[in-house]
Amino acid sequence: MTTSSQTDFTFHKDHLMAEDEIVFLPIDAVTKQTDDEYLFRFDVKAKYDPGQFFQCSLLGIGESAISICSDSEEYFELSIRSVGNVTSKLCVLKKGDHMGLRGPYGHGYEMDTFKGKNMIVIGGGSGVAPVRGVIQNIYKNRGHFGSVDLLFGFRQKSFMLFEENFSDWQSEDMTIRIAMNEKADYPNATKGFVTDILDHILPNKNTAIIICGPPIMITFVAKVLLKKGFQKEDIFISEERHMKCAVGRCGHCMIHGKYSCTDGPVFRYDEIY
Amino acid sequence: MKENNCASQKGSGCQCSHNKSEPNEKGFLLPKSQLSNLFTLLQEFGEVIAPRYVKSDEDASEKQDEQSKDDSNPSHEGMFLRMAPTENIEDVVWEGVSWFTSKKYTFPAKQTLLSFSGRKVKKWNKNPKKRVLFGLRLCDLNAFAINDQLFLKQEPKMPFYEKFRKNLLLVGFWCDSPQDKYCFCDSMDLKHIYDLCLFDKGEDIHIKVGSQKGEEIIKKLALKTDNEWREAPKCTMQLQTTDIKKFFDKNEVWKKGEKDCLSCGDCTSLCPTCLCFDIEDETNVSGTCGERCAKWDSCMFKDFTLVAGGEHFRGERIDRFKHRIYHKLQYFKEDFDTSMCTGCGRCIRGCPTKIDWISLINEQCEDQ
Repeated sequence: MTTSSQTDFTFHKDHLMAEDEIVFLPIDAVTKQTDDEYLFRFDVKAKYDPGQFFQCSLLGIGESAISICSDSEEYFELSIRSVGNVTSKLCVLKKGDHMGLRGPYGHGYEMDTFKGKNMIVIGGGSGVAPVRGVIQNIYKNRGHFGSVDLLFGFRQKSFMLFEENFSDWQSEDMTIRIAMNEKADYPNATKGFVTDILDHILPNKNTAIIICGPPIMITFVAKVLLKKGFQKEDIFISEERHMKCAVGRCGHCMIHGKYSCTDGPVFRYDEIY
Repeated sequence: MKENNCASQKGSGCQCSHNKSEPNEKGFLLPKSQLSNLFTLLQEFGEVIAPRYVKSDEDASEKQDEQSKDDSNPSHEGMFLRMAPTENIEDVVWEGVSWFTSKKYTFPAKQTLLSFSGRKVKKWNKNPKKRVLFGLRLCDLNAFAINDQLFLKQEPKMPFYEKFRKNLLLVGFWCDSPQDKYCFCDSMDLKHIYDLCLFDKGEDIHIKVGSQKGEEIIKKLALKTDNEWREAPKCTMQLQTTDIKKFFDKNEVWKKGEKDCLSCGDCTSLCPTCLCFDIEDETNVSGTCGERCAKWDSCMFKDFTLVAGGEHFRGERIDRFKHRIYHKLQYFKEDFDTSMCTGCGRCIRGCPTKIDWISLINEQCEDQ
């Protein structure tokens, strides 16, 4: 067990099982995002790709896989929704409390392969968190990408995530469209689902599409995009499951023979569908 | 582990022949009168686990207690044939399939990964008992090689599995004939995975040596060499193909099996290669100290794919029914170039409704 905080700590890509390498890190900042969601920040140097995840644990409670929602070598952030046994206990942690972590695990978004392309980033609900790392990466390297469209779906304004980043992103020539299915109480938000704000999206060969959200949203968004003429090879989805071991053994996250924890969670659409 | 230890080094590095018709393993002849000498040597290696009849209420993880021996029950009514600690060679049953597999000797049903007290964490670091698994059939022996692929042949290794595995000596019984009507091992391309393997030659026992570990035991007996070879038995049940990819969407056929499925998980708990697990924390009442454990789980349970928020990714029973079969015959092969099924037939033998998924696949082959 290591308890390092401000000192440099590099997470290893190939971590051992739970028994070996849980690291307890003090939380450097907690931000309440919505009634259920909290953003935890750890000022620890770590190497990771957006879309990868950590196994966050509390001894005696259990472990939960949480996607990284930042893109920086200096720190990492985790957005946790209080919804299950473990996450409801994680969300009561305060600044200075220790969280058990192992990771980062999985295959994230390979941002280098998207360079030179137009980007369409689609997130729904808490699925906006994993793609925020992608957007931050684009923001930092804006010159490397073509046009950037961000499409988000939320229930209503009070469920919005990362609204505070919107103006930064817009200032770097990214267009943001928002759909709200319960109440469109945010300026310029469309009443409806993400699929209702895809009209202006036109197929373009040099485009990468990144989707993360509830399974039903991914299914329908992909359906619409494929119908428009986009290729399966250009669509990248994040298929989150309840990963238990995170090293491709326990079988819980298996999708047609692929392990979401090691082969994914980011898949090219044609890899699994 | 030695380089040429076939039983523990299965895979591309293995030196022994896997060709069924021309094995070049060393063979020795053991007069039956000396069988107890072999047994003693095995006991010196470690605790001998062998197939014997066990009362259904007896704890099969313990040594046989004298009281439970019951000579007045020669038909073994109400008893199970299972792998259990055995002290006398006379108790070993040489025919039949043990009801349960031996997977718990490398991966116990509940295995501690770490223990904690407050924020102090101690990883599990015990040294498991040395054991001899005596009387495994080729199907169960192959299961060890398959489980090794998953837990040892890719990084990160599972440290507890490695420790259990290292302390095992695998002694097989060769099947001259299929043990019952549910066996279909000859459809599964099994390899010769063992440290030692025994078959009956009337006056003598032929012992094949499959590894360095086995040879070290056998050389203490100073036996005559023998080069007889026996073919694998022909099973009554045959699986016509393991290439089932193209049948995935033919739900009308899968439904014939699925309609009888109870989602009870018997097939997965009896399968020698089903080792999907859950990770759970167990604590004392105050929650201050406890253990994080890996526990057997089953993909046949609806909650296996439950995520927070309530979604089940394989909520339909037919998806779970197909998932198990596809994992066994297709998915594992895509990753490791070997089928995960060893043809032991336990999933059908032990199924409360005897779902014969082999026939379902054969039927689809015939439809082609």
